[in-house]
Amino acid sequence: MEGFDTPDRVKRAGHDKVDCSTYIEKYLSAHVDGELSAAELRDAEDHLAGCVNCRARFAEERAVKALLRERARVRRTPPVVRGSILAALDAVDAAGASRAVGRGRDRSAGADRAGLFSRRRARVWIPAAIAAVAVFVFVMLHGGAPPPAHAIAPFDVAIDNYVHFVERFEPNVKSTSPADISDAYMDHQLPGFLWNFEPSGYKLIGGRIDRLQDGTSVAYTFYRGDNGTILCTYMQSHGLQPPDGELQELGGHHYYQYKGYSICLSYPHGGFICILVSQRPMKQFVQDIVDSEP
Amino acid sequence: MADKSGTGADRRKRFEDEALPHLDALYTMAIRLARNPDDANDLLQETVLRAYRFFHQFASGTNCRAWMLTILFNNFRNGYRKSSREQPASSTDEFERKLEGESLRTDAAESNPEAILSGQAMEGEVETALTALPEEFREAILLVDVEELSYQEVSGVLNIPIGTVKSRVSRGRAMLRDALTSFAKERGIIRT
Repeated sequence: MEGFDTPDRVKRAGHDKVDCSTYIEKYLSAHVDGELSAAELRDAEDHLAGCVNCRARFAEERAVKALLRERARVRRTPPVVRGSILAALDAVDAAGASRAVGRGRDRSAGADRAGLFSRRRARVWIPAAIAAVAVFVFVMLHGGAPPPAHAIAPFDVAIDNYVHFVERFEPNVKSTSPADISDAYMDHQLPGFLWNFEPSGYKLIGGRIDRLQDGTSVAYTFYRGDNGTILCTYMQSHGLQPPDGELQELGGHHYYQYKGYSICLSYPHGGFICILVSQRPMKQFVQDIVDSEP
Repeated sequence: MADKSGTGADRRKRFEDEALPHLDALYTMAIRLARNPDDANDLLQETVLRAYRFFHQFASGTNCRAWMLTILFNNFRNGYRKSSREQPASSTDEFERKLEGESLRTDAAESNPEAILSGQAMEGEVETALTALPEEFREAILLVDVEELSYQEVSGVLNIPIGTVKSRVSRGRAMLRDALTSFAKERGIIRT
């Protein structure tokens, strides 16, 4: 009866399939973690049944796992940290309430305590539903607002480069993989986070690192899509506060209409600013940025 | 039925019931990733606030701890990593070399789970071995062994294919085993 496997023949076939190195490389960890499929588990058990060395390896792997679980176990959050987080949540609730119904003083004590570790950021989180409404409202209200009257030097730098790069972007990070670009930035003490605008249809074109006159590094990341282009510039903040004239602060990002460009200013960790420049209309630009976040 | 766009108070309560019980798990991972308390606390707070902000996107009934760890890792890569990037290339190379030479050795003299498990004597060594592990392996190992996530969940948290999770866990454990075995030998727990 060709093609009809008895249990024994299946078992033998399984046994032949897995030798020691295959077991150790492909099965062992998943076996200990309970992550093998039923068929794999049968193969693995068949092999162990006949192999004393791999049985020992299995026991050892399990011991390593147990040791880690024991020695590196979950730690308790210190009460002061927990308290600070609860206060920050209070502040978010209060901000949401004040935006929604025009009040919010009742929780102001919470707001004051919030942000023990992260004062600036704690203030800017707003519930996403309100954020979505806010996108509309501020675009409607401010769509025709005049640009900031004063010059903002970092914006000018970013725009000059944007104009140049739209014509011709010359990446000097060899790879175009986000991970490699991120690594290259971090090697130059720049933020390693890269925006992912793929959800909005932009492709990452590449990264470029230059040195400014003051000896600090600046990174440019360029994105191109069917609807336009975005340049991300990282540079040291030198204490720059969000300049006057912003249209809106949303999710920690400050939006400006400046010299005909849509600009988003934000503050990555570690004393940097991130300036996004695009020619997209502000409303779509905001949406692109909102969509790029989780 | 939980109304996803419910009042602030409903949302806060749901968040406290479903998300905040995982605070310790997040704190543990934040400490491991950031390696300095201020950054870790900052990372933790930002993660919780972001989770709160996006809580309407959390699918009830799925693993909330995995969802929050995903946000934590995204935040971490979103700028925290720089200051805590500590892996000198040499330690990776060293691990690689050990791995090439030893991971497939299975002679019985070395295979001694009791010896490895005599963990009371090995507390500092576990920490040292874990710390020296290249980041990608350490992350996978911590998520599986300490945070107790499935490979599928780890794949989501780290945004890598499940096969990659599998191989990182496998290689990471082999490296740890080698390191712990040699520590144990040095201390005479295992005879060579």
